[in-house]
Amino acid sequence: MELSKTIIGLEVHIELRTKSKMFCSCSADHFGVEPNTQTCPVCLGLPGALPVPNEKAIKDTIVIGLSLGSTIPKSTWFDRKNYFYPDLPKGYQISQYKNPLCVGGSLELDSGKKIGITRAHLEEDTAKLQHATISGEEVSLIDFNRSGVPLVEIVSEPVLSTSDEAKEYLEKLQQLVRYLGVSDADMEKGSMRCEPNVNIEIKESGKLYRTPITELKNINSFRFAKRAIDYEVQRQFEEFKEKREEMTPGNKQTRGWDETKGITVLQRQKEEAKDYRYFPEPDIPPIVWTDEDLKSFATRIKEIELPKEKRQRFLREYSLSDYQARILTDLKEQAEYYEASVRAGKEKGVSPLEIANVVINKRAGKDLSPEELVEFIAREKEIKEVPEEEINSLIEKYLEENPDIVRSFKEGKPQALGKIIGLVKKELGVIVSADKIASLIK
Amino acid sequence: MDSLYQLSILEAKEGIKKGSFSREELVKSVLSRIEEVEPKLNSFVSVNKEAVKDARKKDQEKEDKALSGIPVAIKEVLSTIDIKTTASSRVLENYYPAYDATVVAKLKENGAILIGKTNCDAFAFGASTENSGFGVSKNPYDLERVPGGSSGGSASAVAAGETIFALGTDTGGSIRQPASFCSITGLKPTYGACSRYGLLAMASSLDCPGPMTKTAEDAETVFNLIKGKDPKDATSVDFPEKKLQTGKIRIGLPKEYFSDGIDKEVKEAVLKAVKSFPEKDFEFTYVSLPNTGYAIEVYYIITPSEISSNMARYDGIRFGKERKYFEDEVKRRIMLGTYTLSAGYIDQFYLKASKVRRLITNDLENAFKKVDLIIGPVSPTPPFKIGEKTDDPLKMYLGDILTASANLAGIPGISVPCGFADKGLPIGMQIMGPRFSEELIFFVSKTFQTLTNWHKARPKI
Amino acid sequence: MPKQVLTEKEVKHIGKLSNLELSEKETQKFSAELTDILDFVENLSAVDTGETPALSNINEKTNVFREDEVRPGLTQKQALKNAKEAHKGFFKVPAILKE
Repeated sequence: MELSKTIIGLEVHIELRTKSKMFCSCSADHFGVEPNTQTCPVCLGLPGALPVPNEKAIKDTIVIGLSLGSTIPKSTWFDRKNYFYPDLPKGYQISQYKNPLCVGGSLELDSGKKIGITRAHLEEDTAKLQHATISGEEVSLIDFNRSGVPLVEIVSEPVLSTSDEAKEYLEKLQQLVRYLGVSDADMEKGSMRCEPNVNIEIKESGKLYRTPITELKNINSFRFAKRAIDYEVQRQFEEFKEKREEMTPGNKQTRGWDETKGITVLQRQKEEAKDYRYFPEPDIPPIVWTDEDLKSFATRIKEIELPKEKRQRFLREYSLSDYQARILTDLKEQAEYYEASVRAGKEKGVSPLEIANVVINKRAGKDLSPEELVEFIAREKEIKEVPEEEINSLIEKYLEENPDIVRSFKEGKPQALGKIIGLVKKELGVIVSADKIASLIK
Repeated sequence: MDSLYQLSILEAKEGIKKGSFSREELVKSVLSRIEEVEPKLNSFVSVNKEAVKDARKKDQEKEDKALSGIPVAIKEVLSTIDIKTTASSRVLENYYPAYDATVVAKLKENGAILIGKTNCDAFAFGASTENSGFGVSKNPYDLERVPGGSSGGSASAVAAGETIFALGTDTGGSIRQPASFCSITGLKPTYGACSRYGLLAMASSLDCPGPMTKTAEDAETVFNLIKGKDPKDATSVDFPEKKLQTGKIRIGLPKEYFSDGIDKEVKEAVLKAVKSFPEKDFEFTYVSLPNTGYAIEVYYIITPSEISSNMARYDGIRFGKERKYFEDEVKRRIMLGTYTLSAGYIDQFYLKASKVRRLITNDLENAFKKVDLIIGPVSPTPPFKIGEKTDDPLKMYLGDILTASANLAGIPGISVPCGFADKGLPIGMQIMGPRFSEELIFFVSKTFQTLTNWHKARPKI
Repeated sequence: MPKQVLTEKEVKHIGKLSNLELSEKETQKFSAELTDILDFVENLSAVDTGETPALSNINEKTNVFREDEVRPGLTQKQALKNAKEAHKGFFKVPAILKE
């Protein structure tokens, strides 16, 4: 019996960084806010309240879809997904079932492998539940500030075949939405969440068997995702050896990742099979895009340089190595900083490559402006251009001429060396460190 | 001036304007009428104790607004800020909304005084108020009979002078049928013409709030104040301004609305009413609406389906009591709708019904290519006795046969009093038109009320 | 056409999906009543709907959106006003098993 294949599909949820919630005008910025201070009749699910969709959230979802190469269907609508849970105030989630905003597309890994995207749709987030013991009583506490925050669900095809691929897919997706500026996509804060669906194919005496699919929950970092998948692959293999259970339409299970124990734990199954009773949301008129709408979406996405495009341009324009281009384009802000520095460097004769080296090796101070960075590099270059011996002999000469400085230094006043630094700078135009001067004091 | 409570909006406005009486006197007259007849009628779930104070303030300020000082009764499914809104269900016994429904806010902005919240079937599920968690309301024309429903409390209150006018809601006939049973005027507007924001949703794709008044003129006044697009209701629309047509008004009489299943007295009263329109201005033809025969089937699939979802928010956490306190009819419709949406049945029921809904809508649209308006009865029978249908839900459902189509197609319909059956029981005539034809409907209704006096009848109570 | 019978077992299942606790008596009652109603609405199977598209958007409006603007909502006190139980600004419910 051997493991012939691992099959992973990823469901990723991303909270959009809109100002207001998906269906009401409450603030969507809920992180670290006092509980239940950002609610209204709509997101609290009070009787009689009605949802009105946030246009920006819809357009941001489309931008995500287009950046993944999705098709944008002309006709789409919201559906109600009906189920009961205390974090779901209306007893249904407004989501999309039959006609999502974005269909198809792919995300390319470094290996060149394209991971197919099934769909990307828009829905509303649930409230936040926390569990507590209050005067001996086990209770759950609900905060509705998160209720109704726009949430995009991106579903991949089950074509990822290693936990490393899964991790890379997640990193790339995070990078992409951050580039688009539509989400913080922070796993720890929960503005990006992932649920890997995992099963394996086992080969035995020429026959292939597939194990039941497991949906993994409670994963709040990319590292956890990788570890949980690795664990689950082993567990399923062992379980199959023992029980020989194969995948059927009804035996998918949900397991939670326990980071401290490093294992996945079976989560309690609901008694009733899930039956979400989807039907078109009657409170929200459907969405129909005109050709002009679709054209304007395409224009918007063309104006945004995606990570891969930027990387390729960096390679081309700045003669960087693949490694350098990758690091510099990892974060959009970093890439923008680099390019601003390159522009500033042009006048001072500092090359893009020199700037890349300093930025990547973090040699310069953290908070330098692009101009200051270029200045720093230029100075550094000058130091290198004056022979070491010349500097040393000059320092020695000044030390001899200024015995009071040497004396002060020896009495424990290193700041006295500042005068020498000034004299050297004046003479040679280079800045020497106090340590260097100290090393020359006999 | 002990009978101020009998006045229409228009008469009351005029009296206040002329200084014949004050707003306070008007409100006090209505309140004392409530005190007098409420023990017999049970129209209200709660009466607003601040009403006199409100009226006095408006008198002092000499408020100049369209409905300044006019008492209005509001159906219990319409949210009123800080005033208990129970939907006539025990589940919401202690629910105090944090906001006003848009239609309520509009009336308040226009100076109306909330006199009380009226009884209905719990969550508006029913046609008799017998499903209320707070007891049945009585028909002021016969206390052993129902006032109709679900907006039965609003209807009995208007008819008996416990208010000058009221707001109701209509999902399958809930304004028109009680209006017919209590001999008042009630308009179910075009879907989307009046905001649903703050209306405790029954079936979102059919619900409409609307006026219940003593005259068609009053209904028009109120409708014009509450209509219009509401940014909080995505399904609401701006009401298009249209010019009233010139020439003869063509009226269609649907054969199906005068079939054997309809009570003889009802048919006769409506046909007689039709004859009172002068031939020089009106033209009558029979039309056919073959698919409207399926209106009840479609209605009792679509409505419960949406109800099962709309009622899911009542979980006793953020407001209200637990779900076990739901009245029987509420549970019944939730169960029915859960079933008609469930895996394996959604195609057979919900989807099929949504398709037949289009056929019914097409029938009406086709008819409106030939005629301007359609006239028929509102209810197949005059008011029935309390308890007559409570053991057989299906029998109760069949009573919606003549009203449900308008909701399924989103078109407006009005009920105007058109006579009485032998026992002195009110009969209403229904006038329906294409979407946004309210102006024409009001014109014809007002014409009818200048030709007849049925709307001037008052119950002896 | 056979009756669309809703068995008591199905009624119980529907009850759970509806989050309603039904007594034995209610289960029996609803089984009979819902069977009658379903049998009646089943009349629709006789209607030829052919290619007729389903109707769910009655006023034919499309693309009704809202600007992405923040407006004041309820205060914490208002939000919790009708709550059955609250604790330090949270709604409080009996412990729910972690999903």
